Amino acid sequence: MLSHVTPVGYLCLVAALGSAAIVIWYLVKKPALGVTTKLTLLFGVGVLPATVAIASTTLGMQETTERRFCGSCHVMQGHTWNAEQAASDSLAARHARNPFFGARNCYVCHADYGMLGYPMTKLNGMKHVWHYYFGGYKDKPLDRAIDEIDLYKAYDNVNCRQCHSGTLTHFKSISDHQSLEKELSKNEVSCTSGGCHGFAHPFSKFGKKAPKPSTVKPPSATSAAPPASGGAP
Amino acid sequence: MSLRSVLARLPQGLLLRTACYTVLAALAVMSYSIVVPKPLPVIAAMSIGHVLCVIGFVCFGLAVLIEMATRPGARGSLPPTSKPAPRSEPASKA
Repeated sequence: MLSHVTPVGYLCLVAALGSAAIVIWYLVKKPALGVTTKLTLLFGVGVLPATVAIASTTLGMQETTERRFCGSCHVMQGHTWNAEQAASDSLAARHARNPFFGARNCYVCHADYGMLGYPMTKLNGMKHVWHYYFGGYKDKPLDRAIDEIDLYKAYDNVNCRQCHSGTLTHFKSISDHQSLEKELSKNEVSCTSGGCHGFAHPFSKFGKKAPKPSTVKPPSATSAAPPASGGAP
Repeated sequence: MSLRSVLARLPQGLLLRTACYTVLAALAVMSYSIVVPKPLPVIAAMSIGHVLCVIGFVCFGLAVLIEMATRPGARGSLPPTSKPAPRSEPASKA
């Protein structure tokens, strides 16, 4: 149960226990409000809870970047399951096997970048939670969720270019990159579209913008789903 | 009405108890988010947990201010709000 808790998390829990002990001591013993009691309560009600608040916020923000956090809503389990398959050749799975992305591959690929990227990503995350609990996502079976839930906006090529800068000779030597340079920079053609390097997930956009793959395996399946399209050339 | 007299009217004991209970609730919410880092617990820790923490600390701060304002010997101090303990002398003397 506590296997995922980091050392900072344990320190946070110890601080919470210390604070709770001081507060319960005060409630039970009801000592006079002398200098010692005030200083002790300052730690129990002020310093230690503030430490717990800062640490839990830091850990919470960190946790929201983990793939397991994204997969904790059932509608994302198809995506996270596929990304974890060693045999999967999907764009997401190949990136997840890269240590730079690793267990944070959902966040690294889907975060907004730029000056306000981090808060905007978190605000969008709040929107996800709202839709999950109050927008009907919670009651959707996985198959329907994969069919019906889309990104809020088209996937931005800027995210790909955080790593693939597009400035190297090899990149420029590919005729498709040359002919589509303007479209790629304006986001009119996506790097992750079917004819290029995508789709990112085996079932991306099926039923609307791309041919539907034969099956979507449930997260409990043990083998990797076949990729919907080839990988990068 | 001065700030000191306003403070003197606030119930110090109740404020301290409120501080303790709200901080305990905040600690529970924030600790749960560390043990079970799922969307709702994490959001609750960052919203409800922080608000409860602040409320608790404000109550504690007010209680300390009251204690300072009503402390005997404090400059311009007011009498404490709590009633003095009843005298043990027999009333039959009168």
